[in-house]
Amino acid sequence: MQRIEPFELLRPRTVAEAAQLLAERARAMVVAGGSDLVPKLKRGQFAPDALVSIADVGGIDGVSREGDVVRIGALTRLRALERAREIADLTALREAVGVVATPIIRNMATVGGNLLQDTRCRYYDRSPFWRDAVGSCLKLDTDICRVATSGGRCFATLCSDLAPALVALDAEVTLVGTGGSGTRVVPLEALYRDDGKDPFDLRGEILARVDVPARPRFSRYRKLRIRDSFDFPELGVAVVIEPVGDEKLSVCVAVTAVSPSIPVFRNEVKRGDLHGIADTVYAALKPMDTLFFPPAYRKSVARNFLLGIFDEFLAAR
Amino acid sequence: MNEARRSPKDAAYKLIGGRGGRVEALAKVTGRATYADDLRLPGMLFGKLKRSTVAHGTIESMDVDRARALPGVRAVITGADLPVRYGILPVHQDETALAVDRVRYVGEPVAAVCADTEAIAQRALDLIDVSYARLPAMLSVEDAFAARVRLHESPKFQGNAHRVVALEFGDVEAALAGSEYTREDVFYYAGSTHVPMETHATLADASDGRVTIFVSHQAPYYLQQILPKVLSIPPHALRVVVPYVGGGFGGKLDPFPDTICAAKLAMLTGHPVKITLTREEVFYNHRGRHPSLMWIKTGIRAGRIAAVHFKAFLDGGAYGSFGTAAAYYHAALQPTTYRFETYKAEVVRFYTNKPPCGPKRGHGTPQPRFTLEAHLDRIAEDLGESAHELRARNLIAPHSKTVNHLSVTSCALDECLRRVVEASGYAEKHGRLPFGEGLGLAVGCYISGAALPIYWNEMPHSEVIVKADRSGKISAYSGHTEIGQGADTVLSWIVAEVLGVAPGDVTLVLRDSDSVPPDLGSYSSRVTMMMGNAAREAAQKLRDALAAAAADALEAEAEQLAFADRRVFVASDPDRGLTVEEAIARAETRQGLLSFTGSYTPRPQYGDFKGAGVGPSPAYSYTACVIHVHVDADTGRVRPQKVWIAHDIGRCISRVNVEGQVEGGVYMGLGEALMEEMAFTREGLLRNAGLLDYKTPTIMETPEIETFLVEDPDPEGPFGAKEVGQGPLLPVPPAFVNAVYDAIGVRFDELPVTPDKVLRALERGSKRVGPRGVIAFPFPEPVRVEVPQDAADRAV
Amino acid sequence: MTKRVISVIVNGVEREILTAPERTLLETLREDLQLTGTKFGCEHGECGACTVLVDDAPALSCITLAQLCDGKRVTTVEGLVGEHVEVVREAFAAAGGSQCGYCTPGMAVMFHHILARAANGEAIDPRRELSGNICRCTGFVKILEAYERSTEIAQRRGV
Repeated sequence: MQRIEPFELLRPRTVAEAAQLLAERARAMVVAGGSDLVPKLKRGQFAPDALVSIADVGGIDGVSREGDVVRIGALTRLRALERAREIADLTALREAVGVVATPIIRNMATVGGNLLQDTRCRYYDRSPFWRDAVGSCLKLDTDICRVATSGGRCFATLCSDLAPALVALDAEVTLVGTGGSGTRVVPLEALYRDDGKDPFDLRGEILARVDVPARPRFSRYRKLRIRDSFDFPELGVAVVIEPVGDEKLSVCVAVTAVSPSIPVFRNEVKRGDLHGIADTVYAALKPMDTLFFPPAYRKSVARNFLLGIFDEFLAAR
Repeated sequence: MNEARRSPKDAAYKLIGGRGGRVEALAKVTGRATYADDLRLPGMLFGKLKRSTVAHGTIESMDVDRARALPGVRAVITGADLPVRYGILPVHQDETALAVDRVRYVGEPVAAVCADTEAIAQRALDLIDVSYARLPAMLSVEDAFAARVRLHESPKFQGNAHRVVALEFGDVEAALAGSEYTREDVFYYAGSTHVPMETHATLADASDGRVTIFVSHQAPYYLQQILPKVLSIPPHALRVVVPYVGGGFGGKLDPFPDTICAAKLAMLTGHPVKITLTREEVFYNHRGRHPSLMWIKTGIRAGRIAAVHFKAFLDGGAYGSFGTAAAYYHAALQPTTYRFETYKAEVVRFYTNKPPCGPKRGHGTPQPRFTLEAHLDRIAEDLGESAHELRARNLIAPHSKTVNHLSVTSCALDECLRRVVEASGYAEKHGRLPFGEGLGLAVGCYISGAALPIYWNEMPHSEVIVKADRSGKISAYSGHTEIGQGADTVLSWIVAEVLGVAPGDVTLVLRDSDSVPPDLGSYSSRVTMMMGNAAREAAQKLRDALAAAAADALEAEAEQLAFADRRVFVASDPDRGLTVEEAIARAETRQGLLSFTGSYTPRPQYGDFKGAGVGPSPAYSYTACVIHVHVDADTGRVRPQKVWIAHDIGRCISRVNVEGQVEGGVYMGLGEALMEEMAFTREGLLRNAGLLDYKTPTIMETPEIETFLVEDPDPEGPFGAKEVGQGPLLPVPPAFVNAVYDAIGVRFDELPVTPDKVLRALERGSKRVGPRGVIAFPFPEPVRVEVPQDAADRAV
Repeated sequence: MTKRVISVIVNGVEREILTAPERTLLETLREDLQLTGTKFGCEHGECGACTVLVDDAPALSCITLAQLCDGKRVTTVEGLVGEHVEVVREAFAAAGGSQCGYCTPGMAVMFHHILARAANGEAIDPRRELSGNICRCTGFVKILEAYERSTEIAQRRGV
């Protein structure tokens, strides 16, 4: 069997305590469900000296509706989110959570963990034996990116299914830090720095909650993968469309699995110009060869998905 | 013909052909079934292998001192400790358990350690310093052919050609010249691997002066042949015990370095040593499907297949493994489904710097079958006739000889074809479904056990002992392995059927080479045919002894007696009888210990030419398949909707088992068609040595499968049974690509058919996706063989 | 690093286990408790062979840290009890849901779990529920038949 290198396990009971521990221990990492982190520990991609488990932290688990906002605790297991009546009308979110990984992993994995999952790349998510053979990479501990050898930056890709749906639905996140830094509330998309090596704007903070406007809107999420289970998205698009006045539509498209962050495209268009957004998005996306499928294919599918969603929207109205 | 082997079509059996469950089902569903890694022994140490990180190179230096010095490490060994060369086939003994001075693939073991814990063993590996002087690495058949460096010394052939087959039956060139229509096509079938759910594991113990290995393996018999030589121990000093095997599919047939090293480390330390591979290591062990580049040309004259000329270029990886067999199998079975008037096959297997390829379900026949069936689909289209009519008109007849001298006996392929065509509505729907929906058809054939053993001799291939004693216990001893195919159930039911008892009344003595007679193992789909026949013979002998004793007691003739419900009785007067225990006691009184041996040695007819030994079998199974696919226009994903599959099984022993093997074969064929591929970097590393990155279908991708079992009892099979473990896979990949063509008008002449290839073809309006050509390898003059005098329509 | 005694109710029995933080539940079950019924196919959460129940919810033991199971109930294939156990065994055996048997413990645990949910009135899509368990032998056909059969048996017995 594969054995994990030793670490200390810390189990704070409050968010503040968790943030404090992170501040004190430079090489500590947060573990929630563990379905992203533990396999990476086995592959030696991380070597923390301590894991801060937030499994016992109170107040950050569960889904509730408060006024015109749906509040989702970061520790909410994906299975629980899948079943939550509160998200029944947030179609893109409901569709996204239902296609993450497998039902078993959805029992273990958390909303926060999915939003803050490590970025992925086929040269990075590899074993110690691979690294012995061909060396490491920019994301891990060298200065060469194996995908874009002259790039000098890391293109490891964010492959969260929830992120594009929540971004398109205008979600905000509550981040809790230590002492003076207190609590920040920012749009979810601001969390993503578009740097594969250091993907999140988290200043020693714990992601505590996600808030989503509850108002009814047309929304969809479509995921490209090789198999209909286990696989991360090779490409995912979330779309939210709302009428603006009588003639126009406000369209938000958020895309996952094409960059270290979640590219967002917001447009106000007339109905007849809706399909044009698919071409705009297609032209703007620049996925790198970090996943299983070729970048050109993923772009093509993004456009096809968008055209299909727009067709569906127009046909129903 | 031997009474024990005659199988009347209308026989009624208590167990045979029924739907009862496996004998070991309860053990498996309760988690009590034991596999190799479940075992532990007192004082057990953990072993691990250090593996080459370069694809090709010489070992300049290896320093194990730091590893040896690590507290908790008990032994470290290198190639110098195990220098004896071996190979699964006698014809190329080209491997050592640990590389001696040269490494030939990334992942090749170069050292082994054992320690008190697995974590310490892993740390010790990291303390072994190896430096390699790199040599140019050949990662494709093209590289190997260009032969800048030779992997092995092979004076017979050019460069890195490991094995060359060139056979011609009749005059193919003349037949092509005389054909009204000819066509040639090129195909590529990707390499894939077995992915058994259980990783390889060996627990070795030498603490009592002998070497015992508990190992997850398909053929302990071959370990028994090979390991004593490698370990320098006498043959009787080795005991091989195979628990339940969590899947093999051909990937647990070779003697592996992890097994040999566990044994050696146990011998050195005096402690039991367990080596269990990680999933990544299983991928590097490989011994899977040969990537194959193929060319085929066919001539049609008067609606008949006048000539088939076939060439194949196999990418064999770094060592021989079963590769010679794969090369010959690439030539052998195409003529078993159709009458070819002439046939020429030229096959070359190259060595390359990748994990060795070996036997994977179908063993060298899926690739040529893919080529032939996809090629025939095109021919049918060119000729303006339906694919099933073209096939039906050219099918091989039962009891006939193929153009390459194979003796086909029972053959219900016509019925199989009819069943799937009818059930699927192929004739009405093919070519007429909406764009994006398609049906494809193909057939296949496989052997029920190879007629010739790997180590050539004339001894039986399976031997079974059936015993009974005065306690009333009936025992069956067999050396076969239960790898999931249902062999334990086959043994139990055959013995129980013959003796009129329930499966629960038969005690199975299995697994341990100290107690069981030889059986060649689970490969080439031989177990039901050979172990089954041996079991039937042994059980029949016991039955005869019981009948003689009972006849005496009942004052009847032995022929008048029936065996059923644990009784032996006069068939016409059932009250007049004995319990089977009473019959056993009487028989043991008469003759002493009741112990009978059955054995089976295949003796088919086959040709007399070099290479004729690969292909002959006691019987051939046949399969026909239609697949319905749907292609998603937005993603290019091909979604199989339904598979109709008809398999000529001869007779089911266990109907549920047979259906399960058909379904599993379909699943594995779809995996190869849709998504499975060993993908390498240019340094020779596997890109996908894990279960997320190596794509194998989940339940979500597996369609409805409708199985038809055609039972036309075979004269040689036990109760008429033929194989089912490998045949059903064969028609699936070609039926799949034929269906994709029907759906979207694009010919995929390469596998796997991944969505990106499909979408690109649709976007570009491509009509075909596949290789452009083959390699200009100079095949030698073929061995020229006359077409059999009694070929085609004449009976054997 | 620092070993600690955890208390886990394993298959209904309270077990105290001295374990290090980096130990997984899989290692604990197979090596510390000799419960070898739970298998492993990949150790990275990519196949489902190691599925167990933690507080009645399916979890992948190969990527579950043992110390985080302190105070919880863990059920392995050996410990499946209750009305559905016989149902699962009978259905699996009769339907041929097991060939090599290596994915079977994970499947059995999942069956047990989804039958309990079905008994609570939930509509179950067995294909979707079993999509996290890979089998290389059966093509899943008889595993699905085993599920259908187990729902029939369960209904007949009123469980």
